[in-house]
Amino acid sequence: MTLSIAGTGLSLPSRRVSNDELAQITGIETTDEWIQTMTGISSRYMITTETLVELAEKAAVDALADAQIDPSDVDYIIAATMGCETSTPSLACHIAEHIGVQCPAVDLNAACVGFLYALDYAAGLIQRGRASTILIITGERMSAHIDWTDRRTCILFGDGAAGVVATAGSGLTYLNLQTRPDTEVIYQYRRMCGNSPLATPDEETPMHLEGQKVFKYAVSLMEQEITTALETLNLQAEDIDHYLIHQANRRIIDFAIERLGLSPEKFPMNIDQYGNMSAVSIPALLHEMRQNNTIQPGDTLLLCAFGAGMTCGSSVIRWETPTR
Amino acid sequence: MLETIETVIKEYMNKDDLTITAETTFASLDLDSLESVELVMKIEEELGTTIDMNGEVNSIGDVLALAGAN
Repeated sequence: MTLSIAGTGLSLPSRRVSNDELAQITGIETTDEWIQTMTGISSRYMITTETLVELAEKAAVDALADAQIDPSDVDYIIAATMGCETSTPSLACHIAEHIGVQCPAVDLNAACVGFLYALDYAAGLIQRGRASTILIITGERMSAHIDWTDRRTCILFGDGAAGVVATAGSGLTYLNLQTRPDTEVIYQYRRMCGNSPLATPDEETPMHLEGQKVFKYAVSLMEQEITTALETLNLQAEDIDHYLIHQANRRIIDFAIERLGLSPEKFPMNIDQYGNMSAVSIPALLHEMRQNNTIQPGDTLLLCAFGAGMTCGSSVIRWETPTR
Repeated sequence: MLETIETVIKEYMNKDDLTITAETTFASLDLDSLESVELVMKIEEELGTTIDMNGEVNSIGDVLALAGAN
């Protein structure tokens, strides 16, 4: 017994920013055509007056409503995030307070692979009888991490929150996580000296990303993860109904599909509207597919993500939840 | 090695009339930065080697140096 996904939720900031608007607001030298050609992104949502905490709280409430589960039945909350407005309390504790529960609540940070790590933790908690209804919420405020003068990086990301309710079940049939330590490819330094009288003063640096290296890592890792998942489960590529890939850059996904010889129709995308929302991208895809009834009970999903670290992972889920 | 690389590039770009030298840059081939990586990965496959992309890879000379380092 591992877990099944009983419901999904998605919450986005109110402000949608097109490529043209982004160029105008930031003054960076770019065009809509260049951004779309290099990334597949046409717009992203960006936090203005709302907070990431509020978005995550709404995603949690929506996921519970979709699952038709009362908040009082939640017995663990895991939030995957690179950080919310408060260093402490955690994002998960904010969610616990908002939905009015007293169960354990904890954040994890695995960058863009956060959702798969959260699934792994949730499966472990369910397997050892520690929990049976787990709220997994991903939330990222990417607009706070990036350098808005770096025209190659700032076009890539978007803000948002999404999540699922995981319950005891047999949907999760495979999960693999790995790290390829190379910590400088995607790198952000946060000022940590505070006003300590003993620490050496340090300076923050916004997120830096080596585009070519990330592309190569991502394509290679995606190929390896998908191939290994299929081989391990003795499945053929056509046995998978939907491949849900971390939405980092459309070009990464397209090239990996070509190298793997797979059918692009099985790869849903939302990067055009949202940009790269880090850990949020896969649960956001799941939510959209559930909303438009693209996922049917009995479908087999292969999830794959890669991100800073470098971390990566994949998972196979047999969808068991009835269509609403 | 250069001959193999030239064959891969001709196939990738679907152009038979290319002459590739160590001085040939990806920009001169009208390839963007991500197409350059796609090409490097195809060359890796053909040569059966791994090309570590530390820093920008801009020319075929860069590819030859990195492939030779492995």
